[in-house]
This record gives sequence, C-alpha cells and structure tokens, in this order.
Amino acid sequence: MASEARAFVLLAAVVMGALVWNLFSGAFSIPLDAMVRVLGAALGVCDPAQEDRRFALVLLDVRLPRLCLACAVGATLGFSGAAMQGVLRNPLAEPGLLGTASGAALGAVAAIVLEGVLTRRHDFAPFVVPVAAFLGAVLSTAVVVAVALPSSATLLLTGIAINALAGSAIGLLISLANDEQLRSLTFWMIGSLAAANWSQCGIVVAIGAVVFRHALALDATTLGDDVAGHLGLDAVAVRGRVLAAVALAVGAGVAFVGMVGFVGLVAPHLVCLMMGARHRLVLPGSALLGAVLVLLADLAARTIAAPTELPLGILTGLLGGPFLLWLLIHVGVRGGVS
Amino acid sequence: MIRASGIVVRRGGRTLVDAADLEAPVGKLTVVVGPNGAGKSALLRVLSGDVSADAGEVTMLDRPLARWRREEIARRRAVLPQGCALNFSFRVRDVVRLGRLPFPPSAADRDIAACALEDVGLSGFADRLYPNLSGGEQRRVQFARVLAQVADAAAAGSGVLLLDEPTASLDPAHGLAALHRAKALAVAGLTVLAVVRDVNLAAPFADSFVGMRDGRVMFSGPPSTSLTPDNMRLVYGVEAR
Repeated sequence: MASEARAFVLLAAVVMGALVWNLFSGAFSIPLDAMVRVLGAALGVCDPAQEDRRFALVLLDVRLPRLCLACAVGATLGFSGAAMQGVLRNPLAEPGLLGTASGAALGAVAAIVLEGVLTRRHDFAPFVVPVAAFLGAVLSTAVVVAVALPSSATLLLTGIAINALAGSAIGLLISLANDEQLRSLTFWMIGSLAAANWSQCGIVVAIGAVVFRHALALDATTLGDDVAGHLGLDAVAVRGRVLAAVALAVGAGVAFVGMVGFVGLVAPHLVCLMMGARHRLVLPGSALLGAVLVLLADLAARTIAAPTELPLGILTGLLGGPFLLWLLIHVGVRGGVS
Repeated sequence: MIRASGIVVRRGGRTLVDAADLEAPVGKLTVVVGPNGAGKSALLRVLSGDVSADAGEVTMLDRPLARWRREEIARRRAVLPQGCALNFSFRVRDVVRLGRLPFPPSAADRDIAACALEDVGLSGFADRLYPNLSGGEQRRVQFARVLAQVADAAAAGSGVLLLDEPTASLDPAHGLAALHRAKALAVAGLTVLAVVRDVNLAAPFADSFVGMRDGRVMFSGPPSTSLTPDNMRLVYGVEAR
C-alpha cells in the first residue's frame, strides 16, 4: 500500500512540475514576480497592477486555459485507455486503436465540411462540431462492440476496419473542402491546444467522473462476464455505461483538441507497472500520467521550434511510439508483468 | 437447496443437457460425475445462471432461480467456474477481495480474504502478482475468492456453492484439500454441488453422486448405492470394481 501511495505522490509531483514548467515557457516571457502578482490578483489576494495587464492577458486567457485543457484531455485519454482495457479485457484496447477517436474526428470533419457545403459559409455554430464528434465517437464505439466480442482478437481487427473506413471518409470529405475549411481540418487531424478556453475544460472533466464510479465493477469484469455476474454485476450494463462515457469523453477531447494518439495506451501500462491493475488506482493514476504526457508534449510543441508551433499529435506520437516499443520489448503488455 | 427438473440445453444443433433432473440437499456435498462432454458443466452453468436452459426449471434456496436478483443471489451463492482467464497484473490479495464485492465494504473484509487464502494454503502469496502464478496456484486463488464470497453464507448456515472442477490442475494433495473444504462448508450448512471428473478422489467426501452421460442423468444417490460397477460401466463405459 505504501509503495502505491508513494507512486501517487510522485505522479502528482510530476504533474505539478510539468504545470509550472509549462506556465513559465512560451514565446512571451513573463518574469516570476509579475506571474506571482497576476496569479495573486486573479485569486483576489492582492489588487491587479496596471503594468501587469499584458502579462495577465497572456497568463489568464492563453496559458492557463491551455494548461487546463492539456490536463483535462491528457487525463481523459489516460483513464479512457485504462477503462477500455479493463472493460474489454484487452490490454491493447485504446480509443485510438479501436476507432473511437477516428470516429470522433470523422464527425468533426463532416460537420466542418458539410456545414460549409450546405450553407457556403464557414461560421458554424460552436456546438455543431463537438456534437458531431460525440456522435462519431459513440457510433464507431458501438459498431466495434457490436461486431466484436470482448477480449477477442476480432476487437482490434474491427478497430482497424473502423479506422480505415473513417480515414477514407475523412479523405473524401477533404477533397470536397475549400481552402478555408482545409485549414480548420488540418487542426483535427493532428491536434492542437492553441484554441483552448475555460468552458471546454469543464466539459471534458465532468464526463470523466462517470467512469471513476465504476472502478470496482471494472475490476470484476476483467474476470469475465460470467464471474462478474456471479459477483452480482451486470457486466453488459457496466460495459455499456463505461464505453458510452469513454466515447463521450473522447468525443469531447477530439472535438476540442483533435487527434492525440498513444496517451491512452502508454499511460495505463506504465501506471499498472507502478501500482498494479486495480482500477481504483489505475484510473486516477492513468489520468495523472496522461495529463503529464500531454503537458510535456505541448511544452515540446510550443518550444522546440518557437515561435512556430508543432502539432501536438506529432509530439505524442514521437514520445509515445518509442516508449511503447520499449515497454513491449522489456516488460510485455499489461498482463505479462514480470 | 437446489432442485432442477427437466433441464434441456441445446447449442448449435446439439443437445448438451437432455431432460436432466437433479436435487442437491442442504448441508450435503453433491458430486456430479461423468466422462468428458457428458453435460456436467453445461448443467452447472444453468444452475449458476450463465446459460439459460431451453426447457426446465431451477429452484434455488426455495425460490425459482429466475426470480433472484443478481446482486441478491451473489450474497447467498458463489460459483467457481471451470476456467478463468485473468491476464491483468492484479495482486493475489486483490483477486480474493473481489469475492467481497457483493457485500457492503466492511473492516472484516481483510480478515475474510486472509482466511480464505489460508484455507487454500496460499497465505504467503497475498502480495504476489496473479499472472505470475502457476496454473494450479491461480486455480487455488480463484477458489479462495469463492470462499471469501460464501464466508457470510457459511456463517449464517444457508447458501449455495457451485464448483466446476475444483480439483482440475491441482496436485492430489491440494485437490483433496479443496474437496475437504467443500465438504466442511456443506457441514456448515451450505448446499454444495461440485462437478468432479475423478470419482475416486471425490468418493471419501461426497454425500451423494449424480452420474451423467450424453446429457442425461444416469444415476443419483449416496455413494453406497450409486458407485456400483454397473453404474460405472453405464457412465464411463469401463469395468470397475
């Protein structure tokens, strides 16, 4: 128990470190004393100073919302991966591989392009894209779960089929898009946190809370539907509720920041190594680690080629791909921990 | 008490269980024997609610099985399935604690889980990772999980324990220990029904035998009347003395 508590303290410390590091980094440098004054004023501790106004603008309206959205999206991807792996009894299940994310992207892209085609205008309502992404995520997840039985190899094959289908459909839509739409579309394909605002963070976090309520039930479903039934649970209902929540959370994440891969796969496996497979620990642990991964990826995205900003999805792929390979070579997937 | 009458299970054009009648009385260890493919497990899966029968009725603890709510029966009945593939790195302690899931969390859970592990001879294994255990050890951990689930029912002297091949992949000593435990729970007042392939292993413990072949119940009764050479030939097709 003590080692698990230590792992949590370590994770929380890393999150805090990444947050502070992110807060200080950027194209616009903010001195420490100005930052303290601005944050103090925002919390109502001291009065806002006139000369800090541009610092306050950058900090409170650009960097902080961006940080929060990075945390929220990273956490969502982390616990979504953990929940999907548990509920489908497959250590490779992940929103990206199972087509949830690409379904959401298809929804978002369709909303952008078809809205433009239908009305010849590009000022689509702010809710159309997130709702379309929700629908895409839910639909693709439903198809995967309906076609493939949990814990079977067909699960990943179905995910591959969905990803291919969504990819082709997105390609088709892109060929219909005009230049203006193309710029917006690129954003969905690779992911970015540049357009963050406060209300987006709340939505992503609220949906995630639903999944955490099912931590114990998720432990039981890893033993199989029958055993979960013997323990008094309706495994099918648990799976339905958890996957619906995951699809909604991932849909929201994709709608707000685009496709960000690998976090859902890497975070649960690493957390599992640190503190075992119990979902009561793995879900919050994966959320914390997912937040760290996206924070660090965003930091790299903003600073490596500053002032040019690299796409977030490219960074998570660069960080996550080699890490996953290392994990597979040295440790094996979530089951075969030695 | 378990009473099943006229149970029929058909799957893929084959009749797995054919009009089987079975009665397992309170406080007794009833052992279902028979060759591979006799329909023993299919019948047990009907009793555990995993499979719905195509015909027939099951009464469990004086109520039709269909009228029990899932979470309600989980507090009175535990099931050890034949196989249980768990490839997530849970610790042994956590797997056993899952047996307490049907009950509101209590301070006693820790002791109950520890007791259950001790009962299967794995008290030093609580912190080990389940996927790293041998097949026989994993089997015993699952048995401990089931023991943790029936702890309350055993204390109250009323409940049901269904065991599908509790001795499979165990060495003879641990196989005997598992059956000994099952018998002790029956003495404590549970209705215990176990599928066991090895008649000789079960003979010292069983209060009653049910012999199955080709989905049909061929004989049933206490060992003295059921374990006859005729019945053995009927079920297994071998000459026995």
